[in-house]
Amino acid sequence: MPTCVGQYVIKVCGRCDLACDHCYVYEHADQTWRHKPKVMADETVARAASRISEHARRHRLARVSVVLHGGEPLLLGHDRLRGLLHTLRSVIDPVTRLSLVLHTNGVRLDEGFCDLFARYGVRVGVSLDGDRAANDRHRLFADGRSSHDQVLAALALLNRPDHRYLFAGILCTVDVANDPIDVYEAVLAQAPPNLDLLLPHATWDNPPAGRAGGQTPYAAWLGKIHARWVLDGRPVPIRFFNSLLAAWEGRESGSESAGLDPVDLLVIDTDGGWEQADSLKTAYDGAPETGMNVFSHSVDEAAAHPSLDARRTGIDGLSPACRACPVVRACGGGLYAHRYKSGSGFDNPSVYCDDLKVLIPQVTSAPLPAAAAARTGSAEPAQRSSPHQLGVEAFDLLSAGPGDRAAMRALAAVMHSVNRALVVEVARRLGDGSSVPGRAAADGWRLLRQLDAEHPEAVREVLTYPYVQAWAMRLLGPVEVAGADLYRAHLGGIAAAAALRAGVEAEVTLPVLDGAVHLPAAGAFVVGAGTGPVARVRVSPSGVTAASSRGEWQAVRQVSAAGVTVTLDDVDPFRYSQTWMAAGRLPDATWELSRRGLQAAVGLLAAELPDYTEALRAGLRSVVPIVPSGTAPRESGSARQAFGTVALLLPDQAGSLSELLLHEMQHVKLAALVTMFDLFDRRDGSLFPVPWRTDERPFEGLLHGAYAHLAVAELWRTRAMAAPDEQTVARYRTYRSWVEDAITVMLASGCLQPLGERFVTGMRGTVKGWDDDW
Amino acid sequence: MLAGKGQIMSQLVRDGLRSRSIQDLQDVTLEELAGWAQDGDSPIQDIVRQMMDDGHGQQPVNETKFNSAIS
Repeated sequence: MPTCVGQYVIKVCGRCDLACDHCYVYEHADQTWRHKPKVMADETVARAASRISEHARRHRLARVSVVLHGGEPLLLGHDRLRGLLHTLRSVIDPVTRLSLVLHTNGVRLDEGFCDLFARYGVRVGVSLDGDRAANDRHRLFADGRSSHDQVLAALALLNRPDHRYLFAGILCTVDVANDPIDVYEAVLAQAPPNLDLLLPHATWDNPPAGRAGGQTPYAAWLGKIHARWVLDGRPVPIRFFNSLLAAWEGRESGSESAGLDPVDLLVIDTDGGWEQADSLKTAYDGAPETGMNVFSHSVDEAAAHPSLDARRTGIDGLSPACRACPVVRACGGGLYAHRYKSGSGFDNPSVYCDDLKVLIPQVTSAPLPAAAAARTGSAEPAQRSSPHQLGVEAFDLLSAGPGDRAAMRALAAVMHSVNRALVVEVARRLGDGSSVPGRAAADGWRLLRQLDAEHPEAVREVLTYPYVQAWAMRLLGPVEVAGADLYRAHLGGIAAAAALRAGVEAEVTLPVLDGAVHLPAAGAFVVGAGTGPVARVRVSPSGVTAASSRGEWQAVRQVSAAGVTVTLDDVDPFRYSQTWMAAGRLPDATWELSRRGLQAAVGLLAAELPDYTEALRAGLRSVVPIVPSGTAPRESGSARQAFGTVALLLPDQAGSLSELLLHEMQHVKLAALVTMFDLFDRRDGSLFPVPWRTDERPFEGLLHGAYAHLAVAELWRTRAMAAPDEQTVARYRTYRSWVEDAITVMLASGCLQPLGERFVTGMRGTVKGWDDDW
Repeated sequence: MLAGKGQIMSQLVRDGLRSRSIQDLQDVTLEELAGWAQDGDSPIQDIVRQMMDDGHGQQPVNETKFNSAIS
């Protein structure tokens, strides 16, 4: 199956106005820059854009990310950069949502560039190595002058209220000769929304500076910053630390530097050459090259290059030493380039291995911010409200597998309260309203409060839409979102959607997110390239029209079958998850096939397992069509931060689809139940082998898997009873044995709280009822 | 002496299964909740803290995996 590529780095300029002596582009092993164009030609830009667009169309990608990089991309100047951005937007925007980021040394950033970035929706990252002394250690002009003043001026420009939403973050390259706390304080003084601390590129042939035998200076240096950062309450997301932690916890690291995420990133050099990540420039001359270019090779062809393919094999692709290492889950063998050694190539641990082994336990064992601010717990709130409750009978029906309509309604009510709290908290954190998105957010919040008082049912319908929760969780999570002002302005979209449901006339300013403005559960207006950060829409009982710009309305379409009505949402900007890639707007023919496929699956499920379908009717609000990642034969997903949604690869065979729907809905139910109650000891970090995966899982993963497979076993039991052929019975037995084994492990684990024990015992009761089967 | 799981369960069933910290906010207006939210120890903060504690709020750390850029 071809690999989808969702991330591209375009080297728009092959030269730089600084002469940093630690730069991997010019000062390390690869010197191919000398023979390549200084600036990417217009026709190369156009070809690159069409290749990206072609790939997104072929694979129905809902979003791609493009990083403009160099050298120094601002050397292009305003006019040339404007042309480049226009080309990218005009070619890619009609096909998929384009996220644009530019990384700069900051020296040339001015008001004109910021206007350009606002117009074309480009977020900006800046390099800064610390205070003046630290920055001047490497980041100098060719004549030895400091760049520090210019960089601080650039950061001040990005921190201005009207530009702040464009600020993506700061990259800081580690030099252990600098004082880590001085560096930390100097960088944080620039108030970046995100920060990363980069290990300087090095290999076993060219080891990092500052090492004496047996010492781990990089662990010590980063460890000091980490300790201070934790003490400070993690005031800014630090990517390297967060990536290590995410990978350790079994989530995607979201970074090349940590974890085992499969490679889905390609670089396009100034000559149009397809390349691997350019950190490989540190390894040997020509290391990143694939021998392919945008003029003669598609993204699919470049992505299938053997070197890239080899980096999609997870732990199996690592050296024997890494595979046996207790922290490999976090580091994933380290950045690929850092593993290089002449002779053995990349089949080695990272040259930073010893440092990582010291640093990772510190990072993964530090208390999380919320845990550090432990609840006072016992005090009764001053405000009038009481805890949500669930009837024992409803709880027991859920533990048996399906639950019922009442149980699902109770869980949905819990999530309604959760979403109200989350939205109020997002609103509490609104800024002073001095920026355009800030004003839009404040206006949206005002309208939403008004509608809530006058049309509470309409507001409830919108606030319980799954991606409203996903939106709020993203904004409130520990990782500050770049462009958070724009995201907060989505409050206006929520208000507009509620006004539409209530039949109230309103004119609302909404943020342009990935080329469109969005009304949850209703639809999106796709606005033209260069619209700016916001657009106004008019809502009335007759529908939605664009007030300030022309746009194409894309309604969220619904599917109904067997009493189940859900949206098949292919437009909401928050329908993504870490574990699936959402499909873009489905063409009519594809949508029709998907609709029929989903109807057939729900119809089949209603016939085979009517009690489970009852829970589906009460709890499922939306299905996200996804694109294949190529990592599993059948793909589907659910997300804890989006109650009431499942992600499915559509269309598919009804029998297969109904099984996936059933499986994912179990996760949806259990996630809500776990939000409501303490079923197990969350502090217990034990890992357990599970029969359905090769890796060990934390207790929550064990419980989730067992609960999902309980339903799947029941489905195959039903099928086996209807047609007891050998294959069907074998599948039933497999799922049943998985559940039985997991229940045994859970009951003996010591991790279950009293209510959790009741829940797992309820699951066991269902399986016991099958004792007389084959 | 600590109560056994059986005793605790009996008590839970007798008292009703009450959520650990999710208060029912469905009938409180957003306007009123906005006022509550100014109090650092309100049911709003309880819910937000719990959701973050549970790992619900953890997001991909970066929209681009590319080491040499940040977003």
